[in-house]
Amino acid sequence: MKDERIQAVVHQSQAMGFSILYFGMLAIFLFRMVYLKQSVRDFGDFALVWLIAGLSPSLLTAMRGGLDTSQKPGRARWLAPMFSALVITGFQVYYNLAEGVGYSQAIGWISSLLTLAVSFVIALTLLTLNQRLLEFLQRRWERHNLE
Amino acid sequence: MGDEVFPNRVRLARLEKGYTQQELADLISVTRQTIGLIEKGRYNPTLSLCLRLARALGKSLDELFWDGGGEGHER
Repeated sequence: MKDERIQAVVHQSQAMGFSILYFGMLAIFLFRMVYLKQSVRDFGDFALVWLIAGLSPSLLTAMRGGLDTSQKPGRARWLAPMFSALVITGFQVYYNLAEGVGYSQAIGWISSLLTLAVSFVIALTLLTLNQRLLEFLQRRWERHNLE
Repeated sequence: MGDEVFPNRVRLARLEKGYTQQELADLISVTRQTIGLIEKGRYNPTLSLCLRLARALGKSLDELFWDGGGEGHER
């Protein structure tokens, strides 16, 4: 029996399970990096699977024509990379302080400002590339299914 | 969707035919719970399922689901 409601409920539950797994693993990674002082190399295999799993929903959505193209990115185009850059810089400041690199000298401020600027540019580039890729996949789906 | 209610006349049409919810569910290959939710207007079925329901109950889509332009909703 293929009851569409049952299928929808199962999909919603699976999506919830995925979110728990996704954010749970993120919390574990942060715990390992911040508290246990582990390098990403110590759990790189898990991080790679986590990264692929995190990217796959949006890619699969675009490949199946589910991208919402009616919404313009607006301020989110800048806010999301800025948020990422602030989080990365926060980590860098934490490590600087833990390693004894003080902010009484210019080098501390310069390194953090550089981290902020570079991570913002990288995050903006990655998000823009990701958006272009999603739009490309959506257009390809449209060509195959709507034309 | 959420708490949105979709009024319809599925329950009346089913009773006219003398089917139980389980019998109707078996006819169109869904669960009894799905029929119950549709009758209460708490589940919005796909067009495909609406058509299967209409065929099974011998009614048109209008007769089952058209709300008369927002007046005289039947529960």
